[in-house]
Amino acid sequence: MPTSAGRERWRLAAAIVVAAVFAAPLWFMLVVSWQAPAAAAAGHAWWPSSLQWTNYTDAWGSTNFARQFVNSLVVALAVTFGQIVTSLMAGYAFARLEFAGRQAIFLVLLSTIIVPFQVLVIPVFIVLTKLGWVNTYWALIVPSLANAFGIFLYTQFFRTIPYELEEAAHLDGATRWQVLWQVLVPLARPATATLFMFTFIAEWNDLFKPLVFTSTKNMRTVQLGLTVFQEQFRVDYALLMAAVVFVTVPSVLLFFAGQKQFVKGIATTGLK
Amino acid sequence: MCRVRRVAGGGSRLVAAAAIALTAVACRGASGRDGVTVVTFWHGMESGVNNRVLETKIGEFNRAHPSIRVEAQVYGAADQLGPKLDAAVAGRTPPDLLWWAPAFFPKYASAGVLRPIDDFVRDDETFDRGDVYDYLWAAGTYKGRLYVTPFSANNLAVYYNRRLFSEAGLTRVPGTWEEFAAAARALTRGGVAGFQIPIGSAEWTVWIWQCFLWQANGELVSPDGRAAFSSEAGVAALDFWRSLLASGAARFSETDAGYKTDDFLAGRVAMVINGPWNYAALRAQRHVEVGAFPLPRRDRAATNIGGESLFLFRSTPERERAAWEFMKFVMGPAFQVDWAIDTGYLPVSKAAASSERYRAYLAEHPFLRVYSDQMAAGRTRPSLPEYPALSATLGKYLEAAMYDKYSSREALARAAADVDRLLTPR
Amino acid sequence: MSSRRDPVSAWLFILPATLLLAVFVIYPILNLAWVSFHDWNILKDEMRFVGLANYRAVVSDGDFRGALGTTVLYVVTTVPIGMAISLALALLLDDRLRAAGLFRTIVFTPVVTSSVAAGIVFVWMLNEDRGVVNAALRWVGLPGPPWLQSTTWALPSVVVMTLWKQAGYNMVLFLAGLQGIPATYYEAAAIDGARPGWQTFRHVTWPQLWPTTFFVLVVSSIQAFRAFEPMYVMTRGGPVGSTTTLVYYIFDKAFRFGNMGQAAAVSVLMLVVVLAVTWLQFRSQERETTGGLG
Repeated sequence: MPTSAGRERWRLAAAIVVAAVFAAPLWFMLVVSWQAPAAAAAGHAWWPSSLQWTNYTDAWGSTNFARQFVNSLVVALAVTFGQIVTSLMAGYAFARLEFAGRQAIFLVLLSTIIVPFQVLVIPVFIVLTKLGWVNTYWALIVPSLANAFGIFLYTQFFRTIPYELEEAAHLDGATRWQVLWQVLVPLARPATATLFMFTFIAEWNDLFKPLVFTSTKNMRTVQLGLTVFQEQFRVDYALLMAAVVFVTVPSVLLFFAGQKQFVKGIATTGLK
Repeated sequence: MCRVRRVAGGGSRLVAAAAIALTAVACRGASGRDGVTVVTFWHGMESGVNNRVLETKIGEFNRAHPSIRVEAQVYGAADQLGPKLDAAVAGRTPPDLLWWAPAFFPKYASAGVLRPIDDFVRDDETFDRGDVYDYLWAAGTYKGRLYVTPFSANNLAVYYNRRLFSEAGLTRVPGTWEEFAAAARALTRGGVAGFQIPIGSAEWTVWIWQCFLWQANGELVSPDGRAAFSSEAGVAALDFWRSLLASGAARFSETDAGYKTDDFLAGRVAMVINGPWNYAALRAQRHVEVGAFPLPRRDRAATNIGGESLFLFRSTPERERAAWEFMKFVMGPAFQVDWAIDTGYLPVSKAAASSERYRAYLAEHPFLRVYSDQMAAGRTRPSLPEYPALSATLGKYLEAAMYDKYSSREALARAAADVDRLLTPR
Repeated sequence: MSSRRDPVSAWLFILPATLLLAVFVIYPILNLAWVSFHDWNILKDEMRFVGLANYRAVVSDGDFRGALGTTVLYVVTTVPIGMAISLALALLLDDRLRAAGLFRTIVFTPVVTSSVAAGIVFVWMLNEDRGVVNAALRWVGLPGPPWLQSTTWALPSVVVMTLWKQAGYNMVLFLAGLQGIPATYYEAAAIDGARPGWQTFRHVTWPQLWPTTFFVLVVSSIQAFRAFEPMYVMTRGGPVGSTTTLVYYIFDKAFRFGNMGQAAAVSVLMLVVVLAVTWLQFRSQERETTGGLG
């Protein structure tokens, strides 16, 4: 039987191999982002032949990325907070309360995940024009404020929490609202961290919704900014990859900072 | 009403940006105050040279026409425009002017959302209709009425790798199909393919194949509105492509991305069919010495005329008139010469094409001369609302035939049957 | 517990989410269902009732059956393989590993990378003569197929790209689930003589992880049925429709062929199929554990 230290060495070796496989395509993107644009037209290379950092500044200057970062940030944060709140409340109800039609409603809500956005885009767009929200933050935020994914996540999560934890609070006379926010929400930190991360990233990466719901330059998000480098019959590879790098960095940093959160988990929050 | 926030002097750029942003949010593209008519103009040119030139020109126009302000917005890649535009039209918020391939306008014309421009063209004394090539007017006509004006033109020719040609001992460029096939075979050696076939089912493949159909004396659609490509000419054109592939002299491009120049510029392919819009990029790179020659002939020479046009959407008489002023400006020789020289597109104005400046320019750039000379053999795609669906159908079967799922004859027959169903009024 | 029967509170709690979803998703879906019985020219805003004609046309369309088949194939490969990979990664990259955070971030970065950029890079890597993959294959003496130009290899290529791009996502879900297993369970198992490794996994980890695993299964399946972007950026649904999934088919019908009525019909069919699959997944879970929703 291998020793514990031996197992850890194997684990490290395996992790390095895995990381290399996952990082390979990312490496190629970096390589292209450093190439001179003319050379990039000839396609990929395995190793950078030049380190043209000006691609990054040129890409940044190609369109109003600063404003686009603001837009993406505003939308992503607003949607994320909105989804967390609406999903927490609904998840609590589905996990803890009984009411007529609970199962049916749950399934109906879940079915909203199934239909992809490309299919719904035109009816939603018409609703938005009637409300006069096209080309505003409302159009990008409100349709995404609730998501059955979050509801499902919290429902499952709350089901794993023993009822005893809330019982004490109930006996102390707490209302359901207080129980939710003061007892369950702190316990749900891993789920909230997960949902925060996923929703923020999904909104940050969304191209189709801003594409159809906005058309003015200053309502653009960073993903739309990336389309600037793809013309009808031509792709500006070097600048595109440089832009991809700086558009992706916030999400990566967010993940790196946040991934500790769901490592902490319930084990430390006093089940015993 | 728009309220413009005044930013106290010396404020940071961030505050200014925020103020502009709030203003933009508050004034949602309305026809403005100060009697300035705002024309929203959607186009797909944002990167590099083309965009800078366009912005400069729009600035020129706005200064010369103080009561009009053209505001350009970029819609990104052309294949992303479809859903965005359809949603905008369905929601009754289309742009005033749109820059797009004329092949797509009949769909919107037949829906009644475009404003016909016959009256503008006819009645405006400052405009000379005869200065623009006739076939470009034909490409903008649907059911006898004119809807779109040409912005710029281009066509298709063959890029070739000069060094590979001389290494293969080819001293002349091919002129006919046979010569082309022979050249492709001679060039296929040492891991290099002679020709790259633009494989896929999208418009890029279809519009190139049409050239070969025309070169074999075929037609896409008959005068009475039925599919005409399932003919001997069609079979010959499709068989020609298949023979190139079968002989090993040709290779497939990336699916639905035959316009990418990666493999050609890496020296892996000796000949590709493409347009003049890559000229600046081709000159900037050092890997390959690029030349161009016209598409090969069989019964006749033919190439497909592309380019973009300006679509005018119905709105208010005042915005429509203002938009027309811009359309006129674009078609004028002054704009056309500058545009052609700066971007490599071809002029739509005869005066521009024959001007001293442009002719001198062509003399220095033989690559573009090839394209310019080919305009005489150019033809345009039929003006049908069903054209996008027709192209998608034909493309599907062309691709299937190239992958040997059907024989050429069968593929074209099936495509023709599907297309006839599309073209029959419901 | 009788105190749990509280319809008023329940409705108040689910109201915000339900209202938003009703307006922005459910209403459009119903709208879509209604459109599916019509022939709709959205530009002219004309609707003509045609009954089941759209459904009949779609079901008899060979391309629809092809898209359905491709989608099913895609789902049954990406979901199990993807879940296995993600679970393995979660187990591998836990806190005992040095610099675990760094490794996790590397695995997760593909998830947040632009699909377009990922598509471009994969197309290069799979290029027949210059791509990395074929270069590696040739180095060990194997032939390198024209991956994305082949009707046989295009879908597997898209599957691999999907696995690469999504692995980190499910890994995170599994990590959250794993961390939720109290240490006491492991201690008790060790006391009972369970050896670390497979035995512990089978008797402690797997059962405790089940709610998470189920969640990942349902969500991954739904995501796989909805797949659109990987095909769009790598192969545009080709060659010859071999990577055309249902959503891609719908997209084409709506925006390339301009047939909104048929696109809506396919959307409704897709919704029914996926709902059925999801419901079956819930039913079988109910039998495994006691009580469905609690």
